[in-house]
Amino acid sequence: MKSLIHSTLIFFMAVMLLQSCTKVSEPFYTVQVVAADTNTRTILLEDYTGHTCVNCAPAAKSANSLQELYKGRVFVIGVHAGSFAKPDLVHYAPYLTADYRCATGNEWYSNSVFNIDQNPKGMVNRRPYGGKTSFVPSEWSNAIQAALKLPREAYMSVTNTYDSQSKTLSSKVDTKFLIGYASPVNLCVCIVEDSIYGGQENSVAGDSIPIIKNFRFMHILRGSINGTYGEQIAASPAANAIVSKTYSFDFNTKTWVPGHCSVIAFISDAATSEVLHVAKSPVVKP
Amino acid sequence: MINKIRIIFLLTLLSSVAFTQESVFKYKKLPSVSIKDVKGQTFKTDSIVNNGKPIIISFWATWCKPCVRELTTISDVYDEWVKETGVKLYAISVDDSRSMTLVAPMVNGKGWDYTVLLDPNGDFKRAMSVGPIPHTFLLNGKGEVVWQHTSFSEGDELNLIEMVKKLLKGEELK
Amino acid sequence: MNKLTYFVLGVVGAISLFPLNASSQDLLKGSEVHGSMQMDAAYYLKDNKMGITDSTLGGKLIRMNAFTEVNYSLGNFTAGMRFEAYLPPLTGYDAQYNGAGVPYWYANYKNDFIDITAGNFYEQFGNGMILRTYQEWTLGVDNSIQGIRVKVMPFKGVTFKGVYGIQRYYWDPYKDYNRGIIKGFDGDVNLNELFAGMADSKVKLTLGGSIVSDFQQGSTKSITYDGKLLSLAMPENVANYGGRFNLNIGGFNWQTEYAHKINDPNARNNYIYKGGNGVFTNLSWSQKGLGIQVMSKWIDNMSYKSDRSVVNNMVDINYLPAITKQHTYALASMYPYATQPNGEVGISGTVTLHFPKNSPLGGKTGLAIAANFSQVNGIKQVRLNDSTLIGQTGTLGYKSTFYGAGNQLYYQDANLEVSKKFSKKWKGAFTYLHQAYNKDVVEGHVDQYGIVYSHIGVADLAWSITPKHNLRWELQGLWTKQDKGNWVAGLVELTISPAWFFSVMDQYNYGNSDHNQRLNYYLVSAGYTHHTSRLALSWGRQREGIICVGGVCRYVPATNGVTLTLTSSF
Repeated sequence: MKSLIHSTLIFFMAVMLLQSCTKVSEPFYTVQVVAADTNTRTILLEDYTGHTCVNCAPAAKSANSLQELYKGRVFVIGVHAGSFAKPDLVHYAPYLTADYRCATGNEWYSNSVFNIDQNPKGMVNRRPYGGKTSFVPSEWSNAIQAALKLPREAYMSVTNTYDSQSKTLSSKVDTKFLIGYASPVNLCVCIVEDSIYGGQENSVAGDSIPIIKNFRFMHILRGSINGTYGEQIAASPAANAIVSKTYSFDFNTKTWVPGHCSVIAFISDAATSEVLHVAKSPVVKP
Repeated sequence: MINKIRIIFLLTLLSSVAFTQESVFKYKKLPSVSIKDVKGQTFKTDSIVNNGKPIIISFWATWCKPCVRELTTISDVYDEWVKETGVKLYAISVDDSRSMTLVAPMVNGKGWDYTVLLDPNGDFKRAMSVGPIPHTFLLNGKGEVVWQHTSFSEGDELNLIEMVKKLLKGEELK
Repeated sequence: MNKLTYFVLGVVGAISLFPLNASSQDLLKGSEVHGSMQMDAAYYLKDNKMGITDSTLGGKLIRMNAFTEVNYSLGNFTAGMRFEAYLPPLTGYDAQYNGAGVPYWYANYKNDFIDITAGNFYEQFGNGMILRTYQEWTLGVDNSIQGIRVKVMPFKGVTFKGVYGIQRYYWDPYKDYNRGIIKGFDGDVNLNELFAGMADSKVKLTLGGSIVSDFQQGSTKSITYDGKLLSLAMPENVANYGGRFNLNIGGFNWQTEYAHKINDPNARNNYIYKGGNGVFTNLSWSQKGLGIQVMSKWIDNMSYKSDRSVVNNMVDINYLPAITKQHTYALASMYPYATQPNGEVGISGTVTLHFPKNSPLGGKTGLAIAANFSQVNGIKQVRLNDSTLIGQTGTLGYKSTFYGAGNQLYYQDANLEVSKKFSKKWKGAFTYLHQAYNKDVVEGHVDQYGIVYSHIGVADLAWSITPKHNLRWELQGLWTKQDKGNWVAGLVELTISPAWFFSVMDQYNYGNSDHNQRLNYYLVSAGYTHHTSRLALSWGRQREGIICVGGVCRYVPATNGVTLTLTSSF
């Protein structure tokens, strides 16, 4: 019996001492160089944010950095929804009185599968990473790298024609499936707007605390042209199938600046919501 | 919707069995769990004995107002209870490390004469299937749990001492 | 759904047939089946004044949390399981709990010197600063470890524990290293039991030490900082170790625990490489009629989880207790404090006095006084150098001094409670509190609300109409110039021993600067208890609040509805 006890003890001590500590010494990091590669699938990064959420300022900056670092491959949509996106008429007035929410964003925010239970939180191609469908900003870079390793599903292009007289946009979205996809595919076409200035609360040193009064909001989701989750464009597309859709949108009743707007179109699995490919194009040619 | 109704029905069925089948919550023997006393010494629950006389075991915590009310109310009459029946009360505190060190000062500060034991990891609480506290158990002279009760209303202590007296006479509890 | 039906019918069958069948008793002599269950169901209503509309309810009008746990024991062997269902979870509980299943099951064998558990278990090393897994149903906390636990008692007074496993994360199964693997070892030595010479000594001393290591796969991590993409070198094995002692001499008790965590860059501390430190100490003195207790704590970067990316209150490996007093009166607990795992320093003291009957202050029936004071500040953090900001990702973060307190007040609470029995029929307790609550720090804002200072008074009277009929009244008031302004609250509760209770409660925010928000939060409840089963029904409004667990506060929205709670144990 005694030897059994002793061997149990030694077993545990061995387990502990052999693997207990990994001490990291400086330098704690290296700067990663992002290699350009035009033949991968593209990524939709959704940043669920709000102007009274103090940790959302660094998250928005992180999203912008990722869009820049992975130019042409990562496209960000900033979704303002939830309690932190509500206009605040009391604190720091008048910097937080704007309302950047829209019906589409509110519905995505309430989607129980997406599970946006706090801000900031985001999704990368609406695909679970580390067992979670939506996750904090510190996970976005790794999730993007994991998603880029997946095979490219399609080519997509968005061609916009904006008539400044009638203030209407005609947007043609072409999708060519490179490999067949066995399930129904949805196409969702959204409009985002850049360069809107307003107040954004902030907690991280380096920018003004507690509020950045003149924060430049980029890619704010203004809405979806063809329904909250888009519309089905193919029931089970074969390899090389091409689907072309044209949409028109009227800017007349909107206060948005067409020159700052872009169309983001993405195809997704109709059942799982996983985004397969994304394309973006400005409304007005620069 | 139909699933919810099914589950509510099944759980109600389960608890109705518990409501009616009193024999169900009797224990032939207390589980043996290692907990500590207020001086930090190990105490095994199978040493909860009282020379063949009845035992009351009460689970409580310093932050549980009804528990403190129950133990304060009983402490007002505890001397008489012990003289009349020889009953012994073990007060098991489930306070965790936030309030565990408040137990001895509170017990002494309030002048309680019980044997107080500490169960911060909830081992004894889990072994006795205790949920919300206060939860009180009554053991007969043979160490069998013959009665349990949760929550406390003023006047419950009168019922408790009546049952202790019945056990002493060897009567069955209803 | 079928699984639940079979499970519940099986349990009902076992417990109802068991005591009646004599022959089965002989077969399984000495075996016992026990368990417990609880069901909390709510039906939510619209309430325009509180801003609860059809769209905020989202069509989910009925919500329910329920569990059933059964334990079987035979001799040295025990086994059990718990079935939980959240269909969907009540408001204020994490939406990721939605669903049903068996998140807890175990099999255990124990004898005089060994105790082995396979399955899910709850364990604590010392005070929990290094490891504590526990379950609190009403708070939605369950961080059980699923794996193996071995306890060995080789000599009297010596206990060694070893644990190995992974933690629960909602209903997520463990797959592809999505969570860390925890390994832990703890030794506890009671010198009075070990050395026969010390057995009768008045000096009682216990020593202990533990080490826990968490392995999380991934030696590098990408993160953006300042427009660049950094590849952080991640420590795959994060260890947390420490020692403790408990000294008791008569009525004097001194307990101290120290823990050190090696580099643990995680989402809570913004991925810095500084180690963590924690000290928890308390002293108490008690004799008949007097109890004094002083507690102090210093925490520096001690958030320790088995998943680096989690920022809410799931998968905590350790437990950092708050040293502030837990209040139960509604207005006294309106601004509850929650431990800030990234850094805090605090002290608290409690004095309990009891003047017995026929003493000068005690009068004819005695008098009890309890006084408590606590204060928590942030820790002192100093920049590493001019070019590094405090808490900058990918650096050591900051420099801190041992027990160094910062200037920022997080919480302060001074309170006094006097209780007296006036006569055979009347007794009362009167409490006064003064609290300072740093709403920004505790709730996660920056420079927005500042500190909320409040004065609170509570009068709690009980009238024993007959020995079995008791009527209790509470009158509370909260006065503050900040946040929502003044409140007044009242409660009347009738209990009829041993089974019934009825109560009516109202909290009125009469001082709110927004006249539309001067609402009455009324609640009517009734309940019936029979032995260990209790049924309670309540209807009314619940004000919005914060539930703070393990350093993270979860916002609980205001609700209006009917709630049914059924608990039972067998």
